[in-house]
Amino acid sequence: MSMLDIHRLYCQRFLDQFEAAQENLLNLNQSESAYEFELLFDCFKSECQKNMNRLATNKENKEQYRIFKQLDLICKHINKLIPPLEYLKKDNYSSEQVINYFEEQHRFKKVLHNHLQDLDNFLISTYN
Amino acid sequence: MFDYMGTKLPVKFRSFSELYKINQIAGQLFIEHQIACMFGFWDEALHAMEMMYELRMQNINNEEELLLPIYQSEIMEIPQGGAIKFLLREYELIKKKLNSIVRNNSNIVLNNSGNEVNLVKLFEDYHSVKDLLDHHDARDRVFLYKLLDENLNKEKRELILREINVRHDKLMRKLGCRYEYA
Repeated sequence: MSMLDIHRLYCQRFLDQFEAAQENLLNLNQSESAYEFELLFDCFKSECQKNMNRLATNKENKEQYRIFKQLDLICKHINKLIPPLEYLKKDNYSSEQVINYFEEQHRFKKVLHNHLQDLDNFLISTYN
Repeated sequence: MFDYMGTKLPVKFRSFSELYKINQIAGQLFIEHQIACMFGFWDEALHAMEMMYELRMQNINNEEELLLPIYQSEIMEIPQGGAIKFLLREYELIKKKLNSIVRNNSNIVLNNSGNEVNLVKLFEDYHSVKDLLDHHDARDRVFLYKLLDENLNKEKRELILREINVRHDKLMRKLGCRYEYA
């Protein structure tokens, strides 16, 4: 199994756990969900950075470079999603702010889904 | 003045640009609907959704029946971003999406199946609809309303606005919204 195969599995697992935390958020458990998000973001960002370091050595391969750029974008999205967690931890967000935050997360998830799609394409092409 | 969560809707619209406030209020009703969903108040959620639907549909009908024909005939050079084909395509898409989410909500209330709803999936669908609405509202504001305000003569403008005001008044009565006359 290549490192990108493992990374793909990691992404899928992250998404499942992320959605569970999102359910918590929308079920009005702000604080609980915030701690879950914090942990998930922390682990996932490390995973992305680890892979970026590996991929950075091979910028000539277009597909790999594309994945590298996507990982960079994912990290940037995560950085934007982290600061509001402090408010969520204290149950300080109004319901409207929770919805806005959820929608910001949805934008992040779309990037992640694109990343998964590209990973699939890349992995299929390497198998062939 | 009809005041909804801080957004004020005039008794009579005096310019096309003021119609944007209908979309703003519809947006706030959408959020109210979502908050009611989060608290599991499905009847209230449906009520807010239906009000939002009625306001949106009225605005779309006004635009299709009253504004677009005159937009087409009076505006000599319609900018690319304000092309009629884009507006028509968005009306169709918005109607389809709104019909679908209202039907879905009615089913939840009728079947009393609020507990089984996956809010994450539901709100993600809503987010896509809201993006579409925001996009369309910007097109309305920047092109349709603005160009009509700038280019129609006083008589034509008043004639159309009078019809819009009659329709709007009828809808507000139907929805049970009461104006406060300042």
